[in-house]
Amino acid sequence: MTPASEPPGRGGLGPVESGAVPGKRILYVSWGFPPFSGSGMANPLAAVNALATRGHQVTVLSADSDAFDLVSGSDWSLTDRISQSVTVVRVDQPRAMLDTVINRWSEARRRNAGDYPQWMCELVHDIFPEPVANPWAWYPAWLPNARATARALHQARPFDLVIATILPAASAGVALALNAATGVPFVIYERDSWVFSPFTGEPYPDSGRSRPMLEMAFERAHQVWYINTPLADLHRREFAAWADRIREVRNGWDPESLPRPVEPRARAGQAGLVVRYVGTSSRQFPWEFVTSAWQLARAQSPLLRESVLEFVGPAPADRMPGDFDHVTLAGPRPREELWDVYSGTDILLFVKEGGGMATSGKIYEYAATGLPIVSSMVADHDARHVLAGRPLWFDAAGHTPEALAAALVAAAERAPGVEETPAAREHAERFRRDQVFSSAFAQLEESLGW
Amino acid sequence: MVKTVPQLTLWAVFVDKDGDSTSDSNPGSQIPKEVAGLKVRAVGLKAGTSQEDRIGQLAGELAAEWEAHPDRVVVAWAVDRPTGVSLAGLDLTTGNLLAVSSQVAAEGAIRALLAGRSVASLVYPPLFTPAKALEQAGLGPAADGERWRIRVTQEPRDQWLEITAEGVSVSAEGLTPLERAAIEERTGPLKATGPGAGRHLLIGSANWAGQGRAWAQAVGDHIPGFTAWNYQLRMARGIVFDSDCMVPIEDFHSPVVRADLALNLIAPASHILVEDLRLLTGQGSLRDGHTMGRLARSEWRVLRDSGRRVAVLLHGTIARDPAIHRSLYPWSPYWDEGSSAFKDQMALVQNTAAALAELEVPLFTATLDMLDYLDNARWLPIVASPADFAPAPPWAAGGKLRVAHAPSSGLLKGSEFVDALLSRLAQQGVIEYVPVRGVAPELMPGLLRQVDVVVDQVVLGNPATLLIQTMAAGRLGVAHVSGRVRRRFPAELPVVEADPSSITEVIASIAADPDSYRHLAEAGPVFARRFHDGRLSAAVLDQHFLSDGGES
Repeated sequence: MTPASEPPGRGGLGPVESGAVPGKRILYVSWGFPPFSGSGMANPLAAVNALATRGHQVTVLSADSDAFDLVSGSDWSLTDRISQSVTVVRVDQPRAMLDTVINRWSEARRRNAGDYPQWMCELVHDIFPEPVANPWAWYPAWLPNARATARALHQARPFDLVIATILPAASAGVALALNAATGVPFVIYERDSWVFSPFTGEPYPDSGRSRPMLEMAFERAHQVWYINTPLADLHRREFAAWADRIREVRNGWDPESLPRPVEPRARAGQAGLVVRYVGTSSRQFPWEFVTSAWQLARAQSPLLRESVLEFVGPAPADRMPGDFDHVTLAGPRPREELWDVYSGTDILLFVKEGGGMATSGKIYEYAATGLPIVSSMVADHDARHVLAGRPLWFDAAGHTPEALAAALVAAAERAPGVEETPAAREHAERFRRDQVFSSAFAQLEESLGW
Repeated sequence: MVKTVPQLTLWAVFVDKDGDSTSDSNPGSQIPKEVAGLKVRAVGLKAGTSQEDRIGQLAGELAAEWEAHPDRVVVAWAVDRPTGVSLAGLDLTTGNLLAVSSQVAAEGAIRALLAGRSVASLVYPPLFTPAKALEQAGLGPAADGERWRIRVTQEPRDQWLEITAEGVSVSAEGLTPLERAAIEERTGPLKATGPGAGRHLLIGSANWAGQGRAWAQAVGDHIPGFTAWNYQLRMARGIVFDSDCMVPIEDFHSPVVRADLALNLIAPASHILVEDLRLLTGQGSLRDGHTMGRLARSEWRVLRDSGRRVAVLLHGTIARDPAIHRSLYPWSPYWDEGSSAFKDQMALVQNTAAALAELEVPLFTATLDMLDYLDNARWLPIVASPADFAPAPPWAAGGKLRVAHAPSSGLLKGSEFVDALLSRLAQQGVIEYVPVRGVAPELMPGLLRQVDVVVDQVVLGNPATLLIQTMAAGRLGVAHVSGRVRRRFPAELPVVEADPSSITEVIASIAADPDSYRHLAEAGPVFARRFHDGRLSAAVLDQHFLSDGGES
């Protein structure tokens, strides 16, 4: 499906799925939604589908298609995964500082060597506080359109509940505005933190603006959800007056991504293994650390000497520190090819920057494959919660290239671990996202008296 | 309309640093062979040359391309930042060159163009309005019906944009080919409302204190059969209030944006409330949409002649005659006739008076003190939001009295007096002083509930939005509102009187004996609910403007 051919009002109010009772009208505010293909897309997609499965009439408020096609990246095949009964309303995201269409650059921008002038960035930021981690993020400019849209939709046919998932925080602004004007209850689902850095647990330098807004959100929200225990606990401490409104609703893995079991590929003791990192590797990814560990591991292990380390997913190519033997950047692959990627993998590599507040959505999918996982992360990284007790988990004992190399060697010597694969897969069943959401929405419905 | 898929070519343009396309440091080495199924032509610009030379090089290459392939559309992707600046220096208005600054944008643009979208629609996407959102959700009027359209004419005219009862037309003179193509592609909303048809009010373009939006909401809530939107032209930094449609001033220079505003906001309106002489679409001038006053007056005339009913709302500053104010208010900031403040204000007011004299339209004002400056103006009460009326904690429940003041333009509020006096009282332990600065509108109702007293303006004499919000929250307002103005309210205004000479004594008195003032704090929500919850405002607009019997 291409942008020009997407039918308007996709899904409409549609028929309720067979067997389900007509449910409530829910507005799900998620700036990023298919065809948005960036990080964090899978969670709202699974959430709205889960709500639709429960018989609710879901309307999604998302940014417009051009924002994805021309700026942040898109994959239109993802729209095929949206439940037919879900209505998606795409609200224009003013391009502001991220405008990639040079024909449209203002005179001020042309005179500023292509950079959006600072005073114009500040105009955007005056609208609503976003975390300082995105200092020039364009999201606040979306909020006026989104608020007006939510209001118009509610006026035409009232909603029973609003769920706003952040970041960006602008999504919360929609819920707050509609609640202030009409009293419609809302849930904020923080999949990242508005006020605290998930890497350090410390408040962002600019949190003086956002904290009062989050306090108001807590005061008025029906519930506030967090993506993992450390973030939930942090907010229970920091916003103790409203601790009883906080819930944990974890990320998970989607059965659609792994439509059938991933079978171990290699034979025991086979050289020439494929070790893969699957996911986005940002500019902050510890390239030097990983490639050093890889070269050490290759030097130590005959099994790894002829093996390859491949990065599958978006990566800034210019950050690779030179050419290394047996290391390649394969680039992004469409989501429908993920099973093929995993099926061609012998060992998965999980290396994550960040501290105890972070989990990384990718770890759930890794865990579900049943493949051996080699990991390097800080002692209190929340991904350990996901992997604890899982067979075929090889954790580096320390954050050094030597420790990571040792874990790689140990994994190579155990690969493929056929006997343990079923148990490894079974361990991840509890993190199936549809089940996570089913449970979360069941408690939410009960709490609302539905 | 049959969409034709253009011939496309994709250029990846970069500064060729060393002529070695295999070198990692050369941006050219990272260019893929194909993007979105289209072969990529790498175009290296000579390093070490000036931007002017690079632009010249590009222009030459493009000229050669179009000589060989006249109908070809070139998508030029700037691989590095300097190239983006070079591309920006080309003529990008012809419609056969789309310049983008990322590979994602190049891919997206190619897919869109191959699917039948035009370069014009990628550069100038249509204005987003709530009506479009409703259509997406299948909640608007039936999709098949006549729509408002824009006609592009060849004839040169004084007004490049005209709005009539039938639609919108623009003169092609002065438009670039890309702008013309974008405007010609436009379709507007369904003709469900407009002059002679359904009833729809547009309020624009100031939205001071969010009141444009609030009045629109009041009309929609309380006048059956009427819809209303507001539109804000955002001129400067500062607190941002909610609005149905918000256009930043940097976009307003574009005739396509302004044509869009005319098509989507003006055309469907049967009634238009112009705030503070502000422009709506800047019809008079093709490029200079910034001029107010003279052009705004011609705009209203055009709108009225189009069969739409026009009224004017003056918030305050724009009509407050400094000489009259000086005569009425002992603490007037306009006490010095020779000051620039006085002279500037007088010039502003004279311009306003001249504008109003030209065009007889219903005149409204938001605060009752303005009746001293405006003949025949009607009071359109400020509207407090539902959040303003949320239940509040008991007033002055114990502990030190918490007193807030929002220092703004010191000249107009008397903040230079209030801030100093309240700070001194706080230092003396009489009160807790809460200065309020830069508070987002969403947070103001909650903040008001955390204080006991709000000191608003003490020199100007206008009971404005913050005072209304204070009353709605059940907090005690302190402000200078003269007896003459108080008598204009339909009921006793539950606000404690104070000016710079009495503010210290007043606050100290409240702090010493809050129970004596409790009845005023408790009367606030009743007063605000009666006059400022939108019902009266809707009724005023209905009676004097919107209904068939209203003034024309």
